[in-house]
Amino acid sequence: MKDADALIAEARTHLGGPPGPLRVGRDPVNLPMVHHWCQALDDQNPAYLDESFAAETRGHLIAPPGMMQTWTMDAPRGPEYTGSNDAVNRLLDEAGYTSVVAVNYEHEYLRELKLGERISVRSSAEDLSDEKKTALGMGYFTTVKHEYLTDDGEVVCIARMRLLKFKPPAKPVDEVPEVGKRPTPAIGRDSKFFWDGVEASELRIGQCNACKTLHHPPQPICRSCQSTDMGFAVSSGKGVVYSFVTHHYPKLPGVELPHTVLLVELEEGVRLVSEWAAGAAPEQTVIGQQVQVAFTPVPGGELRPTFRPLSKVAQ
Amino acid sequence: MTAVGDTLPDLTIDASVRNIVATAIASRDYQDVHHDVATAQEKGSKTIFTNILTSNGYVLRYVTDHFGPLTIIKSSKLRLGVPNYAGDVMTIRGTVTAVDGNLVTIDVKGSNSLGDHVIATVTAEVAP
Repeated sequence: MKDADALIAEARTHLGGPPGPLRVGRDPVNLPMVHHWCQALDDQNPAYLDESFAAETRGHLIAPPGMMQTWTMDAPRGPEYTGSNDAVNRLLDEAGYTSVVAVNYEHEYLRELKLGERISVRSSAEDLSDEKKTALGMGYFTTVKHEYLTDDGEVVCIARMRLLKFKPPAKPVDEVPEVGKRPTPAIGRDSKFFWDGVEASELRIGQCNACKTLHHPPQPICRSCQSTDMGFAVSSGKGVVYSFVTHHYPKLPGVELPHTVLLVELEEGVRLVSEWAAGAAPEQTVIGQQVQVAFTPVPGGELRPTFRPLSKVAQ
Repeated sequence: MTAVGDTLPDLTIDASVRNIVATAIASRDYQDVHHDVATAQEKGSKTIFTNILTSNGYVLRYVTDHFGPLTIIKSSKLRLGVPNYAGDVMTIRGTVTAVDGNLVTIDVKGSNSLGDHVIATVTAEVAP
């Protein structure tokens, strides 16, 4: 691959070179496109829009002069042209100056355009600056001359466009690392038993010592009898997928996307939010799938209660 | 009578996403920086912005709105400054700088919250 300097030097050889082939407007100057333009820019000039006004004044409608370039614009995926300005732009692209902004845009309108006239353009590279440091990044200024002609070869407009071709600055580094480490849980007095259970490979569920009601997530007061005498029971770890949701965006630390969040209903009757054990996610998550708890590491290495599918789907 | 120093009334353009996309497509400018936010950002811009054909179109509209439908635009010279990003508002102001018979020169400036988007000189033949 050639280096940037060689590419720029090659670009300079095209300055003053022959214009590319004539780009012929796809459609002649026409009223529907004029209407589209006038509606978009809210231009109500009757010289463009009002046939009776036009007939009484110029004798005919004219096209908005600002549409000059519009008549010869390429299709969204235009053909590759081979004129000197196209060569300059292509070489700048190759050298890494892939972004473009227009800096100057000048037109000399030699006469007004009537409906039905077909417009073509020939373009040639006139100038290429030295490399400049700009607010947008390092870049080169290029000047292209456009001559607009009718089918008879009459030049109706001469335009010059000065562009800055620049290297976009490097993208800011993503704040969230690619997968990263799952955040450490905030463990308090009410939830310590649960996380101690994870260390001991037990799925512990908060239980009121007074009325034996199970609670999850852990809480300090029994929802049922308001006792503050809270203990825990050890779950069998068997349950079914009660519901699930698949998270695609945004990225979260320590979460590989897409990530299926499971709501598991344990056979003891409480539900907890969890996920599939690493590598154990079935092809398709199904509500009613029987599952078994597994204490497996999540990204970052910490253990979490996760679930593996059992073979049967509950009815 | 038009005289040097005359000021033209302000024209305010709301640079909504719809306005930027509608004008870019009406001018057949399919560059992604005028309709695709993600690509515009990838290429170093804050968001999509007004295309140059449209900036020229507004400058010329500003002149013909004021001097009337018999005005014949002879030339426009635009210098582009800050981008006119979606979500901004551009105010166009103008002053007559030369009068030579029917030939009038107008300095036109379109400014938004970032500064001057377009600084233009337009010459036009106006109705006597």
